[in-house]
Amino acid sequence: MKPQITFDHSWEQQLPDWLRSSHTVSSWPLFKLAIETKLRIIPDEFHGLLTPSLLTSIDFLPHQTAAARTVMEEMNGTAILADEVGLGKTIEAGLILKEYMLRGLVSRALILTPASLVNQWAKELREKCQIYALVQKKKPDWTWNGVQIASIDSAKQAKNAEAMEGMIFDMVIIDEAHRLKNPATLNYQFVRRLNKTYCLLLTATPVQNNVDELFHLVSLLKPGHFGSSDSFNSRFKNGKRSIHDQDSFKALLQKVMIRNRRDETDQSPVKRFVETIRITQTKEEKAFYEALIQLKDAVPNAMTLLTLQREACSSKYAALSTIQKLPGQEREEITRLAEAITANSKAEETLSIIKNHPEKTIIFTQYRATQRYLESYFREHGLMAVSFQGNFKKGKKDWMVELFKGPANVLIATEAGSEGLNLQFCRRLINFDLPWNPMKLEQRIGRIHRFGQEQDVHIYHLAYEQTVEDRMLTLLHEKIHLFQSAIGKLDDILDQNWIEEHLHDAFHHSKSIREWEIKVHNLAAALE
Amino acid sequence: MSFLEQFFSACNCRIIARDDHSIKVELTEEADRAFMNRPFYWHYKDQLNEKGAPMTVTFYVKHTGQPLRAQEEYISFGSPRFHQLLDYAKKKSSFVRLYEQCQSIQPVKMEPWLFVHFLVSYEANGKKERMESIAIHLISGKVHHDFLSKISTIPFDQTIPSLHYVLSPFITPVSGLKRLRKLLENELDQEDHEWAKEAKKKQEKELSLLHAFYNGNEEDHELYNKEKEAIMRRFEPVIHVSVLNGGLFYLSHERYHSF
Repeated sequence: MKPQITFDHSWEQQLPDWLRSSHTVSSWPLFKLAIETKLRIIPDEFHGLLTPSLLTSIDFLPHQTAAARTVMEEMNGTAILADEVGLGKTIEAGLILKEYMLRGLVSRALILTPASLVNQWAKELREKCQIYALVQKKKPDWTWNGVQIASIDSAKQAKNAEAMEGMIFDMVIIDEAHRLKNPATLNYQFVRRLNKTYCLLLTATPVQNNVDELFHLVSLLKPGHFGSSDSFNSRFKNGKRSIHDQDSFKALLQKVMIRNRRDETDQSPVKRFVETIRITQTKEEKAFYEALIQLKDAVPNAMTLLTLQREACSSKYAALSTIQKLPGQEREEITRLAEAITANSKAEETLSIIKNHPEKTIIFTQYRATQRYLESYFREHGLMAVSFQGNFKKGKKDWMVELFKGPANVLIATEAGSEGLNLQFCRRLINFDLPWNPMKLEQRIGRIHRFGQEQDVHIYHLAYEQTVEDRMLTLLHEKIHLFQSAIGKLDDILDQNWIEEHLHDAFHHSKSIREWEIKVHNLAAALE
Repeated sequence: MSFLEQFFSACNCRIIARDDHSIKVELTEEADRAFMNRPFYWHYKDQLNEKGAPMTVTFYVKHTGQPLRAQEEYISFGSPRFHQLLDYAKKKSSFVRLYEQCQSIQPVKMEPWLFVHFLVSYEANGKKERMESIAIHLISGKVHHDFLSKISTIPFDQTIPSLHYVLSPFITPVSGLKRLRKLLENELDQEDHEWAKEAKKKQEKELSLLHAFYNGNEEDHELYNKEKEAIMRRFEPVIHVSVLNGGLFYLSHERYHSF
């Protein structure tokens, strides 16, 4: 087999003109310099990376350069980058893009991200990889022959998708690619129709619910890698969640997916200190909380009771909307008890933590009502705090983060919208209340304990003594290492859903807190 | 650092100061127009028929720890600014005509060479490149490989020194170039193309997987073709050859016999 040889004739075509003109301006030193310099940057091997020696301003971590080499040398530029949260997937993708650009294999690239991350991508590529990308805004120009970043939601709009129909992108990079797990969605079909030579899909959670998601994600990247839908079903699928023939499945998956885990890659000396603070309720808080337990018969099912109790553990404001749904008599009684509460002991504890450690602190709560309450509570005590919510527009989010970087010492965030938030400049995090899913907790912590953090991080869990929260904390979060080690391994990536589904089921379908505890205990035992 | 110094002196820009990590350069008008990105300023000066004032710029190769002031910037190997300078050097030196400078009081007979740098790119599911530095003696047709290292220490200049005279070529530069190209093509044909075979194998495997996935499903024909083309682009082995720079070099007759 002999490869085709093509000659670029442009020099030859100009030669007669050059020969006719009697004068040339160029000097011997410049002639030599152009060649000698070019020789220093050409890729003289198919393998290896040029980028690290050229981008000396950044030290790539070993797992990042290893991932880039694998993608280039073994995966031929089509890969799922599925590192755990906070290990620098963006930099990994930037490194791969840069390498392909330096080798002259990519010049036209398209990066699709959630709208809130567009500017952050542009900044990281510029600062870390010296890639100067065009951010496509309201009037996108898809003919741009360089690197461009767009939000996937605007790019997939019919007029944009049509404009891109006949175009070829040398490389397409998609961030938060777990949004592409359903082939029926517009997102999926749009990406599928893009003409792309190389493609990188980035996600920390390649599977969320079932095995099919992984099949669809891989088939988007490399159709046929897992066979056709039918052959995949008969060969590998065993019910919704498990897999036949695990070994060959894993072997196939490893050919298209790279997953680095924190405990394998963490060589930074950054430590994580977790402190659980159990708080005694005030008399009024206790009365309020106890009254909720007595409601058992008044609420439609145990689930609402559990919800209500958890809300009450955050703040009375968080519980108000659920209380409104109670029958009249109980409602009045509970409302009266709620009104009697004059101080929130958790808020006081939070304030004292911040006062003792006057530095940037992020507070997570699950409830908007608590968020609003805390903001005004801090303001009363002369602390400047900013709120962060998922439904904020991109510009507002950016602005909130800037405020937090600058004058505001406290950021109060709800879960939603915190994905992709990089707060390495902050090293103190308070969990004002606790999510039922320990993975959510890890995502929260990942905001500050991530690639780029240079100091030890301090995490505080707040829980009222002898409440449902206390029991959740004991059960879930003190076993978090168990869950974490089961989750996240490439091997067990499928089991991850199994665990999450169990947790979800335990939480949403248990008739009592006791039942919930038993279910989680069983799960923990099974994992051990 | 040495690149910057060589580059700016080759472009006739005056180097005002330098240390291990920085270099301060007074640009020429031409360099200012080419690099400083201020077309409006130059347009304005041109309209007024006035002479513009080229900038003086300080380049740092290492972070100083202090914010940069006006007319200071960082530059590093592989950065866009670096590539801009390199592209400029390449473009400016696309074609040269240079004469060896002999210290001689006797008449010197100069012979013409066509000297070309070919960039050979091997592309498949990866890419590597090499430079081929070849020259052909336009009188005898003799070819030398690795020519740059043979002549790199010889002084050359754009003008012919007095007492020197040049011989006319028997072979025109255009046909000289054709001969070099033919020669290179033959050499490339003789090379071991294991890399291309490997790529072809991978390509076929991916194509067959793709085929099985779509399984002759007609309605997905368009998607199938898109994916197929992507696989072709990703793996198709091809060798590209282009010319980086080259020119007519006049070397003394004695030099020819010393190679």
